[in-house]
Amino acid sequence: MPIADHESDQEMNHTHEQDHDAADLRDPTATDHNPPTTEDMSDDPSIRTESTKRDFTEASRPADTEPTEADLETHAPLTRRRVVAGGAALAATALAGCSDDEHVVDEPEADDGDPTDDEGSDDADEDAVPELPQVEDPPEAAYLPTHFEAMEHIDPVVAGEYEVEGMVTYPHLFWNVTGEEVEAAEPAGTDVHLMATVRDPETGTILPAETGLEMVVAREGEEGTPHAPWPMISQEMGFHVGDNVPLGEDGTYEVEVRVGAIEARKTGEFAGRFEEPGTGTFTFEFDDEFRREVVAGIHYLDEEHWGAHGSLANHVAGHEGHDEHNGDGHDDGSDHDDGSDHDDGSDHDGHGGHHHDDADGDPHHPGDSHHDHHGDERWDEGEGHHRFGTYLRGGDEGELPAAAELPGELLGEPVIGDALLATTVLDRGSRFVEDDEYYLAVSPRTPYNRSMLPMMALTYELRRDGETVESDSLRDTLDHELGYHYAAPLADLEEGDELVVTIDTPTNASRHAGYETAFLETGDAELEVTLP
Amino acid sequence: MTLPDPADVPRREFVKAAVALGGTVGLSACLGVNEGEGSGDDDSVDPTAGDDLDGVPTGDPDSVPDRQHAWNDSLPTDEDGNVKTPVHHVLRLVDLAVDVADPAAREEARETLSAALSDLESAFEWSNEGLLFTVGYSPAYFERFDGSLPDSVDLPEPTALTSLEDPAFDDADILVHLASDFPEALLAAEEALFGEVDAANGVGVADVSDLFEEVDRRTGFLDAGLPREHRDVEGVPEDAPIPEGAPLFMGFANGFAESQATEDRVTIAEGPFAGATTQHLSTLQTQLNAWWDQENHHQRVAKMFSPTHAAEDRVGEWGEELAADPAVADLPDDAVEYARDEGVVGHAQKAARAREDGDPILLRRDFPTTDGDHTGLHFLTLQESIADFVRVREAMTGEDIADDTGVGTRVNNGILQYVFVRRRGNYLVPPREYRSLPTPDPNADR
Repeated sequence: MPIADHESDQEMNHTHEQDHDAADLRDPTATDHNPPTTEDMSDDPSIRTESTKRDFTEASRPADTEPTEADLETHAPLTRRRVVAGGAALAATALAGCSDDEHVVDEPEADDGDPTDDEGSDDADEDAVPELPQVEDPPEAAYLPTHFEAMEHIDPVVAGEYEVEGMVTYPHLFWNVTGEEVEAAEPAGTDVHLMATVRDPETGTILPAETGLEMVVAREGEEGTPHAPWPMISQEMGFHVGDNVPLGEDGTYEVEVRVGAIEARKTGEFAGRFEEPGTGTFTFEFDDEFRREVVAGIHYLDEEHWGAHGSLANHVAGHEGHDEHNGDGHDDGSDHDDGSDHDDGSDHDGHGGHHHDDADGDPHHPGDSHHDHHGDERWDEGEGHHRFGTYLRGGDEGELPAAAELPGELLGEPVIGDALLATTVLDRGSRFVEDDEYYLAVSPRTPYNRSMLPMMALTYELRRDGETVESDSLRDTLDHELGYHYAAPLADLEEGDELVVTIDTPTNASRHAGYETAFLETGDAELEVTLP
Repeated sequence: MTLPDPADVPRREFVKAAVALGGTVGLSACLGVNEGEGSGDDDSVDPTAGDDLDGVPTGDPDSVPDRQHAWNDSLPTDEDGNVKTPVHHVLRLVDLAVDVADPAAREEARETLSAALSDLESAFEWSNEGLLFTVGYSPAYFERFDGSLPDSVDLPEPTALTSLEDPAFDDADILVHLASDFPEALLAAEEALFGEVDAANGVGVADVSDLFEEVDRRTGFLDAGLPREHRDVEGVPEDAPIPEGAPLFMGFANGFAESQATEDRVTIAEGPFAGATTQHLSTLQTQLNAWWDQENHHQRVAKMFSPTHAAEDRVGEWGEELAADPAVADLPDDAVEYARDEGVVGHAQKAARAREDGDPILLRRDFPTTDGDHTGLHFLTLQESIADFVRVREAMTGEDIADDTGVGTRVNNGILQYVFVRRRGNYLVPPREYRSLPTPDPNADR
């Protein structure tokens, strides 16, 4: 299909720069966007077209992107095999069903006028691999993927001291990190992508619950099989766990989740908590309706944004978190555009454009309220859960506090591998230390969305007059005020000391699209100490 | 479960299914196949008769070693010097049906069981071609007696050993481990010991069926190619590219001679139970979908052995390059520092941290299973004390590594992401002299 022509897209007011980071996009094949043919829909009488009460994320999308009944009747009945095997066709269904003028992607034009003999269609039927378009050769940074995912959110359940929110969707392509190796996990032979977010029900804080989390998945009344899902980061969901999981026949599935004790050091209101495992069970329906909804809910970005620096809105973060899924989207923070005027084009240029030097010339504080850490002007598109770009997220739109909101003296927010290392020092005798020490806290986070980055190895070295004063590893710590961070007490600190923070191991969390090329670097960041 | 049609499956797969099924039905199936009937039809053989089994040698109790766990000298070794554990295994967990705290009842029961076990040694050669077995006793068994086990025996109740697990605990009195390359030998011995049959392999066996109440029966197998043939269960993709040469579902070999403790090392040397060993049995489920669908060979080698093994290609396809040595001795001593550099740490590498002066302290006799139609591992080990097992398990868990590196509690931490501990049990395997219903002080008992 032709690449959407942004120059002629009347809805797009932004100029598109030729030095766009992701200028080299894969030409999405016609297969990706071809609607299924009538032959595809002829054999399944079980398709349901009535509306559903079930809580699908896309329920909160703008009304004009809802597939109409006509869409659903026109497009393929989705047998299980079709959904699992025919992802390409399904993606096309979702795409064709998208009538949001702002985000319209051109209807596919079958080159030969007969999509039924497109070779890709047959492949998709047989390969059991959903093929959604991907950004080819993305930048080594957090970048915009081609689409917002859709998923069914299960009502949160109690698991001991934890609250677990299950999420289920179509099998995903994601990436696992083993040391320095990044390996794409193809959704071969699997039926769903099963995820969970673990929260503290008291504060709503999302917990770094990678420890011992186990899911036993069973068709109702049958013996289950255990899974230890991957700790994962995604732009839309932040930190969670998930995996592609094979199921059996359609029906009700039970997922017994065992959340292990949180092994990070716990401070403040979290001290003494999360010491024991907890278990809870949620259920979901695996049926045509589920498959239809999760695929129909896929929401494409206009192609000009694919691969640009930026992130999709996180719809799981925030203290209200799960309560917001039924609403109209997040309350926008007070310090950024509210999303309703995103198309006026008056206050920003297209992304990838005007590159500014760091606004205040301080390499420790790249980015400000008008520029991101690349020095580019901030921008945004879309609204609600489907907002995206480099805009400054509000306080409740990220898992971690904004760097400026961290307690103590903020030494800087250096960037390594596109991870921002917000680094702060708290004065002697704070509640974080036993004696009269200072407290060094490094809070690595994803850019834009401020999601936590667990499973890193960090060290620090404090230098004075060219000599090393102290050095040690930083211990991962969970605090109600600082959030998840890596920290160490400092016995001695003087104005002007040089602090070196080193990433020994980048986060080994798995990644959804848009993060697989970021947060992979090791290296040093040097900061000058200002006493708190 | 039902037996597969032998016409549709390789014989090896069929007999493994027969072992899993057990009992006289399974025995009939084995015999049927062995006699070339190819249908599981048992018209020509009466499985309850304890008939002579074709090709299975009988034995002599006088030639059986004093230690129950002395199997190695009776097992073949491969070309690299690795001991080949028997192919088929059955674990029978039973409670006692008689009150052995009563001396008179105990004496009678002990003599009967002793005779039956001796009869089994007559019925089967003490080897992989006949039958190898141990009889172990749990802490729950010893609790019924006045007096406690001597200090030289470390046999605590089983406990959870990591924060990742909530196991159930086996509290059956007795664990009998039966092993043979011939499933029909295994099944015949089982029937003689626990069933209604009073003979095995043409030799009479004293009837002890009244002594026991069945608690559980577990089965497994260990041989190249068997995991590949059994990909049709939960816990592994049915098209997983498990190498033909691999005896484990994870696609590698185990039991390397250099990583196995000697039988001497695991033997209790002193005290009234000198010549005994302790036995730990973990019942593990494995979930290998991501292992096979999402990891590549390089990652699997890094996690099973070490990243160094992966980088230097030390392993080969399934471990054939390692010969008799998992080659972990030359890895850096500081696994935490290593893990900070690599971001991943291997299973064998972690376990080797618990070696004593470079020597392993566990003798593994574990084997894969498809019990419950799910992949798993009956992780059976022998060691001088249960504390030795706990030490190795702690090293393998690697909480120190997870705490201080980017390695996760499960992810990139050896194979912990793929293994789920369901049950644990501890047993004392007395020397052969005391293998029949011992009291905590077997000398005084005589």
